[in-house]
Amino acid sequence: MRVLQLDKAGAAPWGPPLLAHINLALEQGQVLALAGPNGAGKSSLLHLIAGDIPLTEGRMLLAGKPFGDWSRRQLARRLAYLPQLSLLNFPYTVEEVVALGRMPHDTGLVTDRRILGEVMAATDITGLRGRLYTRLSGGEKQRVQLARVFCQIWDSCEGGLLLLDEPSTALDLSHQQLVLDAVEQVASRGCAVVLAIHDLNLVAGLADTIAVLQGGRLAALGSPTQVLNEQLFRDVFAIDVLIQQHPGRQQPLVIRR
Amino acid sequence: MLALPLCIVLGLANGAVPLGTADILAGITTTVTGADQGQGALIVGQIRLPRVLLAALMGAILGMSGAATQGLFRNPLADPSLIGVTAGASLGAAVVIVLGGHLLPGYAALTLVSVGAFAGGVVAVVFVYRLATSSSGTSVATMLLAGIAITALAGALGSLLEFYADNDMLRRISLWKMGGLDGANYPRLLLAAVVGCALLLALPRYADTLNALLLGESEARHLGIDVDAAKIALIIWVAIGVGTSVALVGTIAFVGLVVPHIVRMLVGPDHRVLLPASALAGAILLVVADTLSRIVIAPTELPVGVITAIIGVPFFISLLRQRHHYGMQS
Repeated sequence: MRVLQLDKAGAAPWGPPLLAHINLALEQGQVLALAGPNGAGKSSLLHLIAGDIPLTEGRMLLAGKPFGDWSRRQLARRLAYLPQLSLLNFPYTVEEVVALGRMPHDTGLVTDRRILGEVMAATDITGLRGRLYTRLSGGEKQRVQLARVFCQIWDSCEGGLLLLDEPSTALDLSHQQLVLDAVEQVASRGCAVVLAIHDLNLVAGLADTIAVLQGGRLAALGSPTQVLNEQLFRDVFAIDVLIQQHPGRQQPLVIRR
Repeated sequence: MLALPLCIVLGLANGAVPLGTADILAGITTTVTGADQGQGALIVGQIRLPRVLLAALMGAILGMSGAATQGLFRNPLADPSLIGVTAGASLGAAVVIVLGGHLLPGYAALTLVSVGAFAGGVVAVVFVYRLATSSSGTSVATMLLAGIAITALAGALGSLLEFYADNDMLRRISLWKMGGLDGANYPRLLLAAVVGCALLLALPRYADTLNALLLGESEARHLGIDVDAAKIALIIWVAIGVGTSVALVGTIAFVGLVVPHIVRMLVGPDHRVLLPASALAGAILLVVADTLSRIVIAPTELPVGVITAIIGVPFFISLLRQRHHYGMQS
């Protein structure tokens, strides 16, 4: 099933267009990584898909239906979004924050508890469950917010869509791996994932497709092997890199010269 | 939970004329049955019972409105006066006192002042709300700034009125501003009860919405909440609650700000608990403060706003000094 489709999508919420001519399609279980320099439109594209900024051009379909045809509640059960920044500064406990992700669902306390336990284990925050959110470190907060959005679609992965805006920026190496494993697990159960990320080596093995944005347009779109080449890094990021085959895995490896 | 009935009984028993339990029971039965049972019963039935109940209702309304406002603005130090309700209502009252007070004698004038206060509060909220609403939705930050602007404007107009007011008017304005429950009677109690019950039933239905709003407006939207509708509904309920309270008992400082803050430090920020707990704590604080205001310098009374500030502020400051224990950051 095609979860997400954008045809010539564009957005211009404040006059000059932020995004233009975006063509994307995402099947269920696929992972799409968004790359590009700062200000290229990665977050704007996620905002557009999440409905925070209006579509001004083209069309955008979720599971074959335009976004406007979905009710708020139905949409919230299918689509979960992790923004780059969290505004939360009230002293909720970690468990309370994660449980907010179950709000759109009426699955009952028993199911909610089970899901809560599973996502907290998957993001390694079980030990933090009673702690106050406001007292956590940046990386711990990021994992808690991740757990909250995982919680929102954990049992409705089939046909679901998960949007993650730089989910691993504050995480140490082992937790980066943990989060990517969790993303892979969600994808393997049928959820389509779009994630904006700077570290391309991190997602080269995970992403089915990489979309490179530049100035609000797609500069490249394809599998990691197709997209990641030395010319692209010169054109888009203005740096010289070496692209090699990863010695241990079937994925390209970007090395700075 | 048990503290409120206890405080109400204490409030009934204490005052310029100390009364016993028998008088209180007699007073309540007098009110219910209409039979005459002497002076003590009369004091309880006609003066203290409506007054204490009005204090409890007002405290509950202010406490819960404050909790809802802080959740809506995602700011633990916000209070209903921030969106301009209190200032608008004060100005409305001052206008009536200065321009229309001499038209009607006694009791009617008091009612007219209440109407002026209510109208002023509603006008202020509508103005602030219109200013902050654009095609892209209602900005809470703009609403806050607009509220501050309205408060400043209402303050300036109020000062202008006071400049032209005579001595008698000035005294009435300043007494009214300090807030007081001495005007309590059964018609007012009835109005307070209607508004109070509606508010106490309506606001807890937004507990989940407020919980999600603490994450941020767009996060709440992604959790399936109709954020704009919820914001409008919450603003209207708070305006009704605070407007009514200012109209009935004047501006009572700090209940809306301090009570939810204290309760949050004690029970956490979950609005499913916070809203009812704030209502309860607000009721207790105002009943206690009103009782004190009647007995401290009996037979004269202190304005209750003075007492709430004198009790509330030191307690609040001591909590602020220890805020890191509660995980508050601002």
